Amino acid sequence: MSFPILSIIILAPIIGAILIMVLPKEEHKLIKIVAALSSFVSLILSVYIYVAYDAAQGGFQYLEEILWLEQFGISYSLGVDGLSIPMMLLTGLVIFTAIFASWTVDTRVKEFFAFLLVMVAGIFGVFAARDLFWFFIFYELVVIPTYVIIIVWGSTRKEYGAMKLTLYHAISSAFILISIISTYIYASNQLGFGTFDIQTLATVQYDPFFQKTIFLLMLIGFGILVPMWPMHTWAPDGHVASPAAVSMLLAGVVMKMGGYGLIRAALFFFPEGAIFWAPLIAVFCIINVLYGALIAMVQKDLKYVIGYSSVSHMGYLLLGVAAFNTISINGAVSQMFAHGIMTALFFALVGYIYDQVHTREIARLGGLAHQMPRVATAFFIAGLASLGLPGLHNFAAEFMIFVGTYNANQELINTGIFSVNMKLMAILAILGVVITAIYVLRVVQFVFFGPRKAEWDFAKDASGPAMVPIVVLISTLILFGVFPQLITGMINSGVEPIISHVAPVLGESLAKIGGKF
Amino acid sequence: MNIDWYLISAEIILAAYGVGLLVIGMLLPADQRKGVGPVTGWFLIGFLIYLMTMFNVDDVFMGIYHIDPFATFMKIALVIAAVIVVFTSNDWIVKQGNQPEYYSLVIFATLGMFAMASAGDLITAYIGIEMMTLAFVILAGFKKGDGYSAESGMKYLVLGAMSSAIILYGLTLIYGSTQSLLIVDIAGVVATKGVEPVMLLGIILLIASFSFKNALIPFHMWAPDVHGGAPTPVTALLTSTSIKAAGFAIFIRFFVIGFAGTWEVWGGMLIALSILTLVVGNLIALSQTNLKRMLAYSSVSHGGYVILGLIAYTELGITAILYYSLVYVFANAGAFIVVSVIERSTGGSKEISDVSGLAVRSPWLATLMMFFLASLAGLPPTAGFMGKFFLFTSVIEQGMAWLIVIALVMTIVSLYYYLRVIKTMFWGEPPSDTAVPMSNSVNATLTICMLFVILLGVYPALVYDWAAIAVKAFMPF
Repeated sequence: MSFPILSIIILAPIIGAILIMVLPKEEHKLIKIVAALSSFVSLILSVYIYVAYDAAQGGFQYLEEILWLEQFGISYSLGVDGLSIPMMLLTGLVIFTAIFASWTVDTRVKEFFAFLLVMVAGIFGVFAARDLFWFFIFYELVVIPTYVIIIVWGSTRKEYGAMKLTLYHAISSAFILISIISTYIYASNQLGFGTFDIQTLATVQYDPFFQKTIFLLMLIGFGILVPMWPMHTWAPDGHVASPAAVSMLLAGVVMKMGGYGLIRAALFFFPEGAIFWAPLIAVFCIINVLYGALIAMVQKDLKYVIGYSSVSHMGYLLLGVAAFNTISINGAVSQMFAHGIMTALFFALVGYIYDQVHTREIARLGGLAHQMPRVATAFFIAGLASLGLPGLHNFAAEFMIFVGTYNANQELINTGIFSVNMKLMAILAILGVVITAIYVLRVVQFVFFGPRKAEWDFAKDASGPAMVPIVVLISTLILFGVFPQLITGMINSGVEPIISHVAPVLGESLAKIGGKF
Repeated sequence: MNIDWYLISAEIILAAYGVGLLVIGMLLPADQRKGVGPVTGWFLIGFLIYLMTMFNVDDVFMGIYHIDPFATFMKIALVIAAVIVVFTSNDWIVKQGNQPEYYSLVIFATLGMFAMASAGDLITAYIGIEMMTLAFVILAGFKKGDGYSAESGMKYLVLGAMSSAIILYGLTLIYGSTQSLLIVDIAGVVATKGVEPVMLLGIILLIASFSFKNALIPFHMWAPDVHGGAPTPVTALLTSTSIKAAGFAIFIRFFVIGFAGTWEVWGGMLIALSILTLVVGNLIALSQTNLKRMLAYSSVSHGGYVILGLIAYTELGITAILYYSLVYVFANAGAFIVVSVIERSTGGSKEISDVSGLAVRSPWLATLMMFFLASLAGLPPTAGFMGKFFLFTSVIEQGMAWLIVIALVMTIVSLYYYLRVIKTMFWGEPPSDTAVPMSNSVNATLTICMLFVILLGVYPALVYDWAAIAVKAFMPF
């Protein structure tokens, strides 16, 4: 086995957490530096695997495999492909900046950063796992640290928000666990040996009824995390209750675990199930987009606006999945990355503002651009990304989703019970962008512009550590916005095998759509 | 007749030590008994190693006492629980006047449970059950001057006697219809004649009384009072062995070996027991404000998970029970011992609010408790998750996924009340800034428990391979 680079990415935060636990608790500065360094190791290595990945060859690379539980065919096997590498990079960027965004934490600093790092190790593991069982273990590793961080360091209605979030996460895991075990048993009966290896499981021919049932279970399980309407209610409450760093991670990465799982497992294993449920997903995701955006328009709390905007934006991801073609899924994965960066930036900024002025009530704020011009500029850029301005990465992602959806094979989106016109869906989704523009601009206008309010004159503009998230995340948005091919080539190399694997089921019509581009 | 004494050497050593302890306890003056606890602990650790060397023995002593890997595996779990409890009871026993008979009783309870794990005939099984019950009756009432403790002992005695009567009646009916006391011979009769009505009545009575001993709902009424009132280290021993490893060992031997191939007759009853235990146990635990009672109900509800393996009735299912019983000892005994530490610092109160702010007062104790609760709730990377995973897989394999849906729903309910404790520890206001006093031996024991909870979650093959070997040799089909 070569250099275990993926294991190091996962272990670096855990080692950081252990180091922090042995440091004296008064050494706030040192603790923060250790946290930043250990997440920096993960970030640098995820940049490295991104750059060094051989997209021409494709498939899983940087493989690691250790037989773990022989009787069940479980291996500790890691590997990343074009689908997971962007997610690894996203996680690296978000945790690194989240640590700087929480530089001002001063109560029980030691435990805060230790829990934060353990949580991130779990997230890295989810994206790096090549074994479904380890995928699940890492998925669950996120639960307890998130809960503890929110109840100790959170704000508004934190007990309620934390418990709600954790129970939703637990329900999601329950659905996923049952579908994973069922898949395992079905596959081991077919193959003659037990395995949790994702690629091997995908080679099994599952019968249509099984596909439909298990896809639905996975859809609910992963859908809760995405979050898909009507299971989205944990997200706004959870975000608002969390401290900035956890909001960044939750909205930036944890939600993406849902989308990633949906594509990596549900879509990959059960194409027939996916086709059967696609109209339902299409309808629900449009509700996500429009309902989330409309609710965001009337929120009074700044963080709730961002929380509901996440619900709205993740609707696009689901739309890309429902349309089920190469372009739309490429768009969906890009959207996961773009939205992760953008929303992390939003939450970092909201966290910073709250830190300074101790309120998030939009009506009370106003004219903050006078006191904090840098924050205002950054927020404006994030807002522009959110409404899909060309030149920022979100535009590229949403554009691909809309094109893919508009061109979706209409025959596929038909269960026989009811069908959904995907062209209409694409138009409705574009309508969502318009509503996004309304609420984003409304927030920007009421919070940052307008006459200077003397009551906020004490507030300082972002500087020092607080600038790190702003600079890093905005440069990422612009870099991938101006050169989207930097990431689309990578994602395509990951999505192509999944689509070509399920192509026989979908028939030839699929290839035609790909050909149009 | 050639008697192979080596086979029961473990039992002989244990009995000799228990009796010796009683005698030595009487001879030693009260102020020189301080070493008895640690000596017993180290003796048990040595004994544990001896037991492990016997793991591969697969033989029958005088035709009635099975020394097979299955029994030895369960015995290892029992001794581990005893070690944990002995090392952590010392403070309390010293304070109470330092009676060595406490340790002696722990040994005799363990010996009784050994007999339950190894019993090959009806009489031996009954003697094992009685020996365990009597020892636990005294242990439960061991706290001098404490009304709850006395009530606990009395309740266990009276209700235990009732369930023993039911066992006897069931055994009589089974003997009457098969004309045999040996479990292997019963299996032969069942295979040729099937289950006759008289036998069926016997099986039903056995299920009822075993459920009583294992605290499965609706036969659990005694458990919360007995477990809640007994001295906390005794509760730790009682809940992690008597109603789990030992109780299920005898359950499995009767139903897998004795009534082999008659799942259709009694499977439905076990499914009903499992659902009731999971649903009612967890829902009652949800409303408890007393930490110890909450854990007592949680340990009742865990019986509902364990019995899933017997419902699956496959090699995998029984292996899962073995694995679960062993890892459960670490998490459950660990959690109860943490309660006993808290209890000592508050002067007897053990409400959930008593752990308020524990993470500020004693961060390490709070961390330990968090891992034990996470394991009980079945969250990775702890051993409890692997145990649940094995059990659930075995049942889904038999096409009963709906049962697992219920189990998973109740797992989420249980997550709620475990998290409530974690929340109180990390978020609540500490009543004082001083650390909760904890002796080194308790600290070391709990830390080792936690290491095992994590180790067996991260590397389950360590124990699973053994359990699989034990079951392979054991299963008749």
